[in-house]
Amino acid sequence: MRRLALSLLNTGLALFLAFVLGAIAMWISGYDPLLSYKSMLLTPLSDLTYLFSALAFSAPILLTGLTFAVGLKAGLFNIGAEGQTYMGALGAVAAAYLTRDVSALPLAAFLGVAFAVAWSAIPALLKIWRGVNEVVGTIMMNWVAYWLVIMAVSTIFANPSQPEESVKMPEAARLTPLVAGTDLTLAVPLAYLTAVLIYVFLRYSVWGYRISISGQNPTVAKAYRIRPEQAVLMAFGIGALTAGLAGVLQVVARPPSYSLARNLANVYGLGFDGITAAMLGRGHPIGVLLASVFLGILQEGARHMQIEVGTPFEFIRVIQGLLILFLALQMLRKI
Amino acid sequence: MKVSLREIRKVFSDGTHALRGVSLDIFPGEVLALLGENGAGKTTLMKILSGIYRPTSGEIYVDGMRVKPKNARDALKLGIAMVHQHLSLIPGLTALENVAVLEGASLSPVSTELRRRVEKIAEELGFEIEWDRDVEELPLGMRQRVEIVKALYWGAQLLILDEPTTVLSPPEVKSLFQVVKRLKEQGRSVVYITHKIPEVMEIADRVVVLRRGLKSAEFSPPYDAKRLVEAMVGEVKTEAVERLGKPGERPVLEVKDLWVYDGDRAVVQGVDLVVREREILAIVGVEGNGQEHLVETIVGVRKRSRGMIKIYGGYAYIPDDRQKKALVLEMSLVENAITGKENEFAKRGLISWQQAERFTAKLIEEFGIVAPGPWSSARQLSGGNQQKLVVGRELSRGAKLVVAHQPTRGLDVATTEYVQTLLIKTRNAGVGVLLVTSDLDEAYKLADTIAVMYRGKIVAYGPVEEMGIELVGKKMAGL
Repeated sequence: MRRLALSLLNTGLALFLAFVLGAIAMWISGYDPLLSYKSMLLTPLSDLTYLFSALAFSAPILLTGLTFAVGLKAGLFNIGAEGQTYMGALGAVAAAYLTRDVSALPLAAFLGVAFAVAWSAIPALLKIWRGVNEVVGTIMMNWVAYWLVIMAVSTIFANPSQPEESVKMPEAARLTPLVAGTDLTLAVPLAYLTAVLIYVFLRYSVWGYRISISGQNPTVAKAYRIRPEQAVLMAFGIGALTAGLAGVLQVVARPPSYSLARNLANVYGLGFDGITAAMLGRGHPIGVLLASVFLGILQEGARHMQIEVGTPFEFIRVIQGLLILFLALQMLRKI
Repeated sequence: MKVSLREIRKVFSDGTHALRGVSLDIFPGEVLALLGENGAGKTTLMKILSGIYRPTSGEIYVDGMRVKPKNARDALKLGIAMVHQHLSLIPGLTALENVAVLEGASLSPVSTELRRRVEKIAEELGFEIEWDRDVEELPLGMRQRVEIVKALYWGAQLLILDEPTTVLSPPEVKSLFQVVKRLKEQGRSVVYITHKIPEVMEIADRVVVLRRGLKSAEFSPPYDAKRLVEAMVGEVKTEAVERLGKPGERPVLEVKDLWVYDGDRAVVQGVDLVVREREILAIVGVEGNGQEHLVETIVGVRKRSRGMIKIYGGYAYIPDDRQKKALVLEMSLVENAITGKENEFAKRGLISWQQAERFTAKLIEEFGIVAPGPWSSARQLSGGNQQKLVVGRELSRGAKLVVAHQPTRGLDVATTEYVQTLLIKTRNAGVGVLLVTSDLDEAYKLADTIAVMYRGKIVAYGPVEEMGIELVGKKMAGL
């Protein structure tokens, strides 16, 4: 209990500092911080459409956040969610290209997740067999994925009528809004359910236990016949599952375009937002869920801030960056 | 400069009693060897003298004056410096900057005056040091010399060398001994921490042996290697906690012609051994003769290069370092209690934490573990209680073989007694025990059979009745 209180306090402190410094940055740049924060934090809660939009933003961040959180449990710094999300989206686009009826939906899920898992297998195996640090491996794969997916979307999967994006999901295979006129699709409950499942997996399953032991102390694991390599593999695999799902959902369940932008705008940066969510949520799946909702509100709020007060959207990037910095400082101190 | 330590005690926050009242004098111009096993307290004692640790109680006098060094710099002002086993120079700075850095941070280049004096000190000791290279680029032997010069430049009269030869090649060891002699000629004192007997015999004017946090003996030349070993690992006062019945016939562990390499060094060289039901086989030897590799290969942590290992009926493993190899300190007792048998508490892949908690509560009661509760973290337990948790978990595995590596190291007398009794009871119940220890007391108290390990080989092996202390001591010293 004391530990929980302490970590809440730490998180609160990081948030506070990030917002204070963010306010100073706004003030120096000539924008009103108080008005800006008001429309950033309160406007999204003032209307159901805005709120649903915030929740829609939270879903992919949550899924990529889980990737990082599961990695942390296994003692990994797995920042590969970014590239795996691209690959998930690519799988969905490939499905849309291959079939034009409802079967594109299951095919999208299958291909997207399979691409993402295959993508994460490379850094995972490099780590296990050759001892390549996972940070190096995943960054490398992120960039390979970035250019590969841009190439695929600009060539074979290009949409002849709209050159700035890929072929669209066939209409029958789209997950359309649950409440008409909002962005709230099945993606949101699906993401939240995933978080609960991951929580149960980590807390109650034999493999979750083994991942924790391996992550905290691989020497102990080895002494008692738990193989840390298997835990690493499993953590990478599960992480790719959720990151891949995030990519798929950004294509099949994201109105209005239901496609992948050629500059990857609708998947770009999700993996890194996920890291923020995971750190803010202290690596706990339910914590990551709450953090991703918060980040979703920020994201939605930033639009209103820009419209209502004229403060540029980019300031939430500043605040998020500061937040990561303060959270990372706390983590480093613990090490 | 004469330094006296009086009744120094040190209890670490994890409950380890590292020192239980040690008194020691160090005279000017002498080389004092501090001999002892790992964990005997030698390094702790010297870290107290050099200001790195604060003693729990006890007093330090320099030339009759009471001193209380608060940190290493404080101790250096008194003329006491320690050269650590894992050298403590700052990478990224040159050798010369590492000497100058004690003066405080500065952006100006190191003064020529300082350079001149440093070079003079080095010359007097016969050192050739590349002062302007990053210390990281220097070989370990040269870094050690930089540390020595640094200590002398800042006025050290008493130099503590902690296991100085572990990082050195044989020719470097030779020249280190020359340096020690020269320091002595300059009237300085040297405390030489080691567990290597040949080194002690070569350079020490006096030897103080520590064992389990106490001064166990003091010697002056000529030294008798066997007596040094005895003082290090314990005298033998055999009082058997009853072992009931003879060892059985059926083996629970067979090892044949086992070879293990660490890099290209053969650390286990053709070991054969058998542990039978109702038998405690004690492998004794001075630490670092391949015991660790042998144990870790048997339990599958390390890979063997050659040979056969057969285990019949499962094994339990009590590692030598509970905090690093047996427990995850950040996790709760419950989580630690099921390590390696998590499957027994799971249904369809999901662990029942209620059942695990009941099991932990049972362990706490049965083994008298003092803990705030089953969900408190293992870190909150004292060293002795952590070990009880490990022993309890392992003995409740129901395996036919128990591999116990230094099971009582760092424990207080009562817990030591308790763990030893448990091992004997386990043996009496028909389990085979492979006990690896460097404590002869323990070996003679528990073992049915004794094997001596020296430089990776079993050099003597037989029933305890036939393995006299004379013989075992000799074999341990490699004679």
